[in-house]
Amino acid sequence: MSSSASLATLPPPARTVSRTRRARAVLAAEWIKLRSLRSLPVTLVVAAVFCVGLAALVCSDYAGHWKDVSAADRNTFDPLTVNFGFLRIGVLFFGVLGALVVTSEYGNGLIRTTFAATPQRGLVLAAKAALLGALALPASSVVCFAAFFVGQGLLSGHVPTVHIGDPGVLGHLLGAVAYLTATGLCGVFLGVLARGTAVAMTSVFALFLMLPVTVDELPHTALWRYTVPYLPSNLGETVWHSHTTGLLTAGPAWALLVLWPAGLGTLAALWLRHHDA
Amino acid sequence: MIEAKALTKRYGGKTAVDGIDFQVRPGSVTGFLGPNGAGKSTTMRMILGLDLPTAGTVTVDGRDYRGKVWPLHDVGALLDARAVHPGRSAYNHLHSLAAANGIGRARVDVVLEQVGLTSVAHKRVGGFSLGMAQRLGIAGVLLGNPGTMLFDEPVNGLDPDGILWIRTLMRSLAAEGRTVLVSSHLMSEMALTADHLLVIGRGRLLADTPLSELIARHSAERVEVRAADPRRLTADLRAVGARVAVESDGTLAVTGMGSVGIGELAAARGHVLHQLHDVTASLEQAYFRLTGESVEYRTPVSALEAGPTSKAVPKPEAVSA
Repeated sequence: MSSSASLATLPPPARTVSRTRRARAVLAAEWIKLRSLRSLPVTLVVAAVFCVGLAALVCSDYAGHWKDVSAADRNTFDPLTVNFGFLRIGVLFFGVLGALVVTSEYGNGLIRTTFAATPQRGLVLAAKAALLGALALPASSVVCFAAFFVGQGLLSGHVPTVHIGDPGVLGHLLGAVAYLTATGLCGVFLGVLARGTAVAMTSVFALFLMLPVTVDELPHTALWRYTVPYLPSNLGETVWHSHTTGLLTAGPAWALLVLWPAGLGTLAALWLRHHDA
Repeated sequence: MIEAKALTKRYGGKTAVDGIDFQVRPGSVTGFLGPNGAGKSTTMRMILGLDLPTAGTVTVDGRDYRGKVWPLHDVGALLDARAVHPGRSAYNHLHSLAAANGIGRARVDVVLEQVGLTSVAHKRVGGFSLGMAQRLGIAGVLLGNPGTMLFDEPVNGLDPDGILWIRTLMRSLAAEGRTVLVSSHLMSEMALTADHLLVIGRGRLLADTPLSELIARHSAERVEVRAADPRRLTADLRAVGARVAVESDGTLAVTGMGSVGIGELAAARGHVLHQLHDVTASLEQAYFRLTGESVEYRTPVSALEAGPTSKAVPKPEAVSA
């Protein structure tokens, strides 16, 4: 046993420490965990290939069959909507990615070790969310811009296209990036509330895929007006889509798209504070 | 020093820990003993701030665990050796824990060396045997070089080598002046490891006693004697007030008189003795007596007696007086 000898080599623990020093330590710990998780880069690569691939597939299909498209459909054709249709499914990858960051610790009980090392659970959650955001933002930027240039490149010469410099186009591109990143963050917090991979995935699928379809079947009464436009998927649709009737305008949609992860994050932090790990 | 005051945990209508008070002191190994489901793990989770007490308090070195800034410098705990991500390497697992508490990489190498995992440090933990996973968990305990250490059932599933290693390690850590709390449901293991015992059953503290006292209380229940002339010895012993039962093979089971007294009496009266030895009630029996009422999910007694544990129970038909 050399622990007596090593007693001297460890610096005595500081009783008081600045919040930033403590936060930096948690961030470092979470980063080590994140980069040693193999499922993360795999999910990211699959997501990128799927999203850009789907955009390419749809755009090349339109380009090849433009002559078969009816005049009515040609009138409503929107090159950006066609190009970004992949977001409706691709968003799930980012939600799942966020959930994995948390649920990879729940199934095996590692979360207890984590909270024993850092009883400041809010800090752990904030660190996980910050790192996921820092990862999802560049990743979704690459995905959205690549999908845009590939898609418009395939469309050009055959059908109407848009240019990145056209009015509003860059805004929609950034909206798509924000939507994917916000969904990733929602995934992190849903992961905390669900406490397990299976339930977390189901919640992500329910919130972003099933719920929007289900409530859209409602008659367009007050119930529809006060729910459907506020779902994260439809807020996303507003910020990346050129025009959708019945939904919010871009300004409020951007604000509410930020509020979703903020709200879920608050719930998750409260849950962690008041529940057993 | 760990101190619990009226510590209580209820899950819905079920009371897991029922208002227990105890202190775990530095410099010795304290065994936390009780049947499965007695509340040992719940208590340990409350010590670590993982579960919140329904009532009462528990502190380590006078402070609530959740109020500690760098807890790993004060407390190290091994709750579940399998609580690791299988895809991560042992090194990365420890490195992240170290980073969370401002501990440098050099210390990770030191503890890996200490538990003998240096050669597999960069292998995925998923491929580790239970023994290796236990060693990794113990490396995590040692990481912050804390003054207080908690081990929840550390020898479960280990081979004899691993058990001996952990036992020796815990004893040497306590000898260095640390507070060591180790839970187990095995009395035999505790008898070899612990200096002090906290016995818990159905969430209540049944005993808080030094191991030696528990042994003393249950030791030398009777003395077995074999003599050349058992009949004359029986008469002589009974004459001085000892109770003697003659077993079928002629062995005398003596109670109410120690082996020293019997030996001296035999010498004075010219008896030839073939055997003289103390029969101590096993600690296992002492444990069953303490916890017998508190086992949550028990097997009917008849089934228990048919099992291997019945060997420890003295044959009642042999005793007559």
